[in-house]
Amino acid sequence: MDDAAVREFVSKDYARVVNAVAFVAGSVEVAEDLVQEALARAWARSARGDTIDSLPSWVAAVALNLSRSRWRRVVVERRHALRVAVAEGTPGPDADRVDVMRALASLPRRQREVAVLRYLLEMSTREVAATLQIGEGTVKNSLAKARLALATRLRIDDAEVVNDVTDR
Amino acid sequence: MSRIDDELTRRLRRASVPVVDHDVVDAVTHRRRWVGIRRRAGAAVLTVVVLAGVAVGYRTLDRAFAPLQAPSDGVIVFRRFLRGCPDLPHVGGGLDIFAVSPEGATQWRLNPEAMHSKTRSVFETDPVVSPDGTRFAFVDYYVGGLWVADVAGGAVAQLADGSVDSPVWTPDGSSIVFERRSPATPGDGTAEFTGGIYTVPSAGGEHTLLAEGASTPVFSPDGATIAYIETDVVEDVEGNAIGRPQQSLWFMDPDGSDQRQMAIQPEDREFSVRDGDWSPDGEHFVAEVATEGNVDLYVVNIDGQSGYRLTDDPADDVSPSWSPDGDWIAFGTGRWGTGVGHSEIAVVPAAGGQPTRLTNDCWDDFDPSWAPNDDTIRSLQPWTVPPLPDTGPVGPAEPGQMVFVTDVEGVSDVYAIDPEGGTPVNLTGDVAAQGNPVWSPDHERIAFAQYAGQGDADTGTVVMNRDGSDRRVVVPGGGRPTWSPDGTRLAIELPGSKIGVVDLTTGEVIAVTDGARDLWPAWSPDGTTIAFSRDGALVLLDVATGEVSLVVKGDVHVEPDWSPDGSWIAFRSGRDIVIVRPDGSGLRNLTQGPQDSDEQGPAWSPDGAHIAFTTDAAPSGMCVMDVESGEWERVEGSPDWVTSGMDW
Repeated sequence: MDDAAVREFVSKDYARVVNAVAFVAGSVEVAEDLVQEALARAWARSARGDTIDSLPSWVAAVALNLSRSRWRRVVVERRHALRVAVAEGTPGPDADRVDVMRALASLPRRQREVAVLRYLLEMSTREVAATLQIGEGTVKNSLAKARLALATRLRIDDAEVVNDVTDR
Repeated sequence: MSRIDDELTRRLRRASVPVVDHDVVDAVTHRRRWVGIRRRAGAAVLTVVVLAGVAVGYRTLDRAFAPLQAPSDGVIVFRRFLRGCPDLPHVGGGLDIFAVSPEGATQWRLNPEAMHSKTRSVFETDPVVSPDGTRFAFVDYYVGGLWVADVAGGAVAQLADGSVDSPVWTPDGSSIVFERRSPATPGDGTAEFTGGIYTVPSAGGEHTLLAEGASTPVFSPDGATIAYIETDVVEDVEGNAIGRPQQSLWFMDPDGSDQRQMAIQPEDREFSVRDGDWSPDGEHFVAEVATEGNVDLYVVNIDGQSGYRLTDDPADDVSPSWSPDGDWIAFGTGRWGTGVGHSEIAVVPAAGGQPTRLTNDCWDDFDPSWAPNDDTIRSLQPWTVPPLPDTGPVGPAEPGQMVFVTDVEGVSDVYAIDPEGGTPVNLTGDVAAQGNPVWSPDHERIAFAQYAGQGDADTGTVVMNRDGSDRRVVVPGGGRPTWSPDGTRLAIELPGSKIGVVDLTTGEVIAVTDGARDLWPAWSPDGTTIAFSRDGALVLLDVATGEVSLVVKGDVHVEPDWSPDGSWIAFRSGRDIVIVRPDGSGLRNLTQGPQDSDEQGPAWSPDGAHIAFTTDAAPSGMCVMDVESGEWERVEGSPDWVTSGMDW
């Protein structure tokens, strides 16, 4: 991994991974900090000779781990609260975003993580399991619950969709 | 993917925000240097060097406060993240607002009904109590917005939406001043406004911009001045930020006029003032000062020309709040952290001295704010840790029963149940989390994996008698176990995802594989072989030679279990239960449930005629399948979901 790999990640995957982490952590500013920290660690590991197969997955995994640190998060929150002038990506009161954030907020953390990795980063069950270091059965179980809860809260009421959910 | 999956993907994409990436590479390059430095030198050494530079900034000390013994007046409101702790797995679920008496003896939980409203999330932050002590303002961290709730219960009202921070009451309680961050990209259809400090009537109403681009407002005691933080960003010709933003402390009148910078300048080090609070006499200001790698508190005279360092610790000390009597300062600190993210509330004499710890728990406590009037909060029922849930009577397991793990309100235990159904009996009855219980060959002992906290002495592979007696950790840090046929050894998962064997007589542990993802060992009935999952493939380890051979290629094959005669291995492949002969022949699915149903945890019956497993297909729960006919039925009385493995 080198400068070019970082630039490629930033141009291709950065925004998507930041949004995924933000859906879990609840804040785009915090997510940006976490993803950048994860990327720096990936770079450092790579320099020591470690191999990272999938940079987006690795960065997402580390950023999500970092986001579980409340102390880090509150410090980052406060730091970024002061970056008014550069926070161009700060989310505004977009109704659809609030709906989605609210629906995700209603989920237990594990389900939230599984849902964003699957639906936003479009990872397979195996990739989600590897990223979160949990069993695939747990991924599927969590995803099934998250899917039902999100569909209900977001009122995804297409007949076929509802049947698909309630048949389970 | 079903249509619901497609729709959810579409909704999440649509709800994503544009992320500016123009300075990311530079930022990561900068961080990478720090990652390297941290590895080489250690954060503590570096921190001391940096802080030494900051500490010499004030050459004049002005300790105008008398030494004190203990604080007494008021209460301190704070936010608590009730994460699941190893000792209190039943208490969890987001951020809540609490209060603690200043000597730390009593705690209260504010308005839990409103906090847990179904119409809101459960991520409340930045609590500040109104001057009369009856209401408190807070920010919903997750969905955003400024809210006000009654301390004692009742309705909660939203005063502002969007990305809000740092609310503070005006001294007369009529309004709330707060920080509102910049909106989404202009022109995307959302309401547009300018980021900065706003004021809104506490009963609701129009927002008024006081200071564009400013943040973290704090009122002076007489209400005549607002302290706030300004952020300076150097930009290049294209408007891109260069270097790190610098924050500084400013003052203004309540109407936004007469904005002037406070001359707080700890010499030549790069630093930022991120938060602070006034002394009640208005003569001093306690500032949260951040340098690279650390945050501590400083007290400065309001003229900015003299001051002193209030706290000095490698851990961060943040969010200072001055007591109404002026003698104490409450703050959040990581100095007693037992792990990453652990923080507590403390008070320190405003004149300097040793901090006193007010909270002492496994949760994360942040954002202390001294409530000037404590009558309403002190009239609430004090909060104590809720009792553990009823996880059923604890008793012995009987041979022939199935053992499994499930959890009740977050408390995970090993249970036993008759295959024909009945009432599960709790075998472990404690707060530690267990997983993957397995009977010893003589059905007198049970081994399982146990987690009681990272590095805890009770975390590891455990063996106990079937009545729960003689329970002991046989391999600290060990994972899922499987018994040797003679019952003298266990094959287990070792840290680093390797398979090991422990001699239960001597306690000696030997690693028998060197894979990076070797999990779920299962010892064959004849003792010659250990089946396990290697990177998702089903493989066999010859115990005598150490050779590993492939049984079923793939990446989702886990949870192997041998038939009693050793002629079959049942395992979970993805979401279904499959059996195969040890030579790889005879592979066939036993379950092919409804679409997306999830089966796991196969366990052969002692007679080899049945396999138990758990399914989430309705009715979900434990099932027993006749291997010959393929028919299966639910085990009455079993829980909806077995969380971690079972054995028969």
